[in-house]
Amino acid sequence: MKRALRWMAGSMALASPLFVLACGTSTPKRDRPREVILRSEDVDRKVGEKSAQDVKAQLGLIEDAELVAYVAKVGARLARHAPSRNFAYSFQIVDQEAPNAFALPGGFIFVSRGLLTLTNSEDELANVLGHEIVHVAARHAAARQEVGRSLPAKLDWLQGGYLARYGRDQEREADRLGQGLAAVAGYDPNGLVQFLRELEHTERLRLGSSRLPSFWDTHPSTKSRVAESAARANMTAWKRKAPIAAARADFLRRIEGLAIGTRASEGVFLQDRFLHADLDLFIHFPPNWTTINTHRAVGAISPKRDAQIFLEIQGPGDDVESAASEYLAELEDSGFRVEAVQSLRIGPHAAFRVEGQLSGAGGKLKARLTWLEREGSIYRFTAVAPDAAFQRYTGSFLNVPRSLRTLKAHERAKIQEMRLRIAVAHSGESLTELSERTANRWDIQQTAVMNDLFTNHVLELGQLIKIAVSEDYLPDADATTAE
Amino acid sequence: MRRCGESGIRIPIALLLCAAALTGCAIESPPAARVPSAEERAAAEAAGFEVDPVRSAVELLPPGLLTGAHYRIEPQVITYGFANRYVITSDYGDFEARGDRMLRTRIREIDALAALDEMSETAAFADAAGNALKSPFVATWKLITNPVDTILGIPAGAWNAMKKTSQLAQGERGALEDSGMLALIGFEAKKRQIANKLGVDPYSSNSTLQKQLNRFAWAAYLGGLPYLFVPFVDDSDFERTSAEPADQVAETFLIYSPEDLRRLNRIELAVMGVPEPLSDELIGHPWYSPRHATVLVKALAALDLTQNRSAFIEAAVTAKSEDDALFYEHTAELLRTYSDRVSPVLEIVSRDGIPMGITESGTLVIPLPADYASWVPATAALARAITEEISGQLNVERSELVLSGTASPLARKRFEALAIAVTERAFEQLEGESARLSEPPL
Repeated sequence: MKRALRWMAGSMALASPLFVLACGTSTPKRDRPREVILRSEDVDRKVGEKSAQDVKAQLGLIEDAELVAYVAKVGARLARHAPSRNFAYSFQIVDQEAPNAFALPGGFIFVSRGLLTLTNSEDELANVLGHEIVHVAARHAAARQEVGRSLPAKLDWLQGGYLARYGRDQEREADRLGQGLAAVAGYDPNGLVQFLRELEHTERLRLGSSRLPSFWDTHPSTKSRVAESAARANMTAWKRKAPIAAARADFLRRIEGLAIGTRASEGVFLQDRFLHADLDLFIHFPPNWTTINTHRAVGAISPKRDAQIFLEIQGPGDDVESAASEYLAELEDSGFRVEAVQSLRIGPHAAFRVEGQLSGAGGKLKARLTWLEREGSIYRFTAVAPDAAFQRYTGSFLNVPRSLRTLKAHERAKIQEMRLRIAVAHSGESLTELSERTANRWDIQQTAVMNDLFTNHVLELGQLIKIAVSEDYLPDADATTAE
Repeated sequence: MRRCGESGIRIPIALLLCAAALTGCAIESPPAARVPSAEERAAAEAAGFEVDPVRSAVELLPPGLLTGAHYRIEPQVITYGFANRYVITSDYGDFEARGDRMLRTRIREIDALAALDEMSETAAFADAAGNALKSPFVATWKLITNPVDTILGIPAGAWNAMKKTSQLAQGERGALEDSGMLALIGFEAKKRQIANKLGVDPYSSNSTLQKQLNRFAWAAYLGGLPYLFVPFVDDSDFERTSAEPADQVAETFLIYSPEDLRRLNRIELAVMGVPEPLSDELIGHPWYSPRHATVLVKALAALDLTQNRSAFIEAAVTAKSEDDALFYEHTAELLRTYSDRVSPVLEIVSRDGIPMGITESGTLVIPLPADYASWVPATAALARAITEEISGQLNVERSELVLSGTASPLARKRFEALAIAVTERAFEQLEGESARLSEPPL
């Protein structure tokens, strides 16, 4: 059931302190003056534990025991040489498409499946983990400022600003000491260079150019990080110690099978239609709205960005009116004022609707909440718009809940997901030829980037190449956990 | 670094160091300062030199620092080996402060001792101390505090004891899992907190302070001594004598355990390209407390673009006393300040134990922690070595002596006559935007 309650994190990633590709969270452009950390480590730990639970709930964790143990082993090898403070480091893999890594106060370190897919060696992974360990050890997070939100927490379904980013100086320090930590642990500090280069190339592919620093961006540009890291790697003293994955083939074997892109188990969008195989669920969102699928909710935002509607599963139950009462009681502190209530049926489902107002940072908002009972669970639609614009979206707000139904056979058949596979090259083969032979779904540029090769690279016999293969969705192909 | 009297091309610098007593020379404790005799004075003048001055504390210090509630600075201050030697008479014993920076440390420590003394009279402390004695870890306490008490006063002993207490030297945590070791970790953390509140160094070589810190840390950790409120010493009368803002330094030593500092230093040193054996030598060095090593390493780490930082560490590990360790610590800070404020240091070179920098603009920077540099034979030898040997070997455009304190008018004149620019009070002077003080003579 837990699994069924979780939604897929699609284009909306949890804001990343470090490696996420594209992100819109806001922190000031200039480095902040150094903040004296007043928070105790006990508070750090508690904040970290709570946030780790949130991460698990929102993104989900990969449960591949062998892979998780491997990442944890690499992390533990680094942690033996890192300042440990008063806590133990833990390492987990989040079920996130974007290449991402982040650390929470108290030693909770996460890498995403997207990041693992991008890496080509244990050295790269070690340098990334080293970077995150440094964030924790230096208590960078204690100085972070949370991004303000206009909606009350209860209605902030995106939680895009949940984790604010680190400052540029902190990122530079984490790059520098992360490389040093990797080196002390016996890994090649060039691993960070390699990884950042792959990240930069991926950015170019996605965004058309390498991401440039902007007003909202506190990260040094990836290009400058590559240059700085390369210079540092050449200077750093290190001695190779035997890696845990003996060779690249062993490393690739460990990450083979990871899901790529949107996971079908979390539901997929086919244009404005949302299909969820495990929940046997179909919803039609308004055309041309921006659709977003997070672990907490699935929804859409109007083109003018002045209206949004999203669906969450409130929990088990069959009494929509009680469910509404419980939720409204929780909303009491947010200033939500009920104006109208209505019992109704939507298709075969018992439903309950409440309309009301609340005051957000941008003025008065009107909200319509619709509870709907389905197979022993309470589904909740929330539609929000400024008071003045609400009327304009009434049709959409009514139609989305009404579109909810079970999947048809042909719709279910369309649900597929991509997985990372390892292909063995023939002698003299080009990437194009290998892709055609193996039904690789990545284009040539993407394949080259993911394997840190040039597009015109001539492959050697037996060379291992990462490819993306589209496969039928199998509900139990790999397990993840979330709450 | 060479011993006194050792021959070789670089003897002048070795002689300087011996005379200055700031580095090596196989002396286990610094030579006692003394007032030069009339004959020595006459001989020096006849040879065109000065003698180190003997000045009044009133002349050197702001009135507010001359006496405090619990101390008094003796009126006569002898400068010897570039350092002003102060004698402090206090309620907690007499202390010698070798240098202005040490004076600040000792005065702060005396005020801290007074505050602890006052607190030890309270019922809260008596209760906490009583509770601590009932603790099952009391044996551990005795085990740890006794060697510390006996050895303190010699920094190496203190640091070694620290290493033992926290089982910190080898980077292994396994043995810390037993309850006795966990108690020590708790004790050590509490000690850092108390030291931070008092504004003193938890790794100070002041044995009186160490003893008191240990007492209070155990009372706080095992006996539940409540929050300690001790006002910081007002040090606004002091000149700035370090590169790092005091609050940042204090925070570093509050939040990181000695072992964590060692690990951080090892990582920083690796990034600088310092080979592991040399790195281990510095980290395990008996005369470098975690604080000395960390301040030194942080200063060098800030020189991100500088090549050959290993040369600095090679010189630093020759330290044979706490004064030596402080010399290298302050030298690193001077170099960093210069690099930050004046011209980036691109390479470090070391000659007979003195680390120097070569800047982007081709200047040889000789950082010298000195309260006061007179034109004595050793200073002249340094000047000669710079002009006649080092500058030529390194093919630099110009040379600049960067002092943490000041030079006598004669010394300054002589240095400048030899085309060696002099920057005085570097930590203060180089802070500003227009930091250039000494241009090379035409």
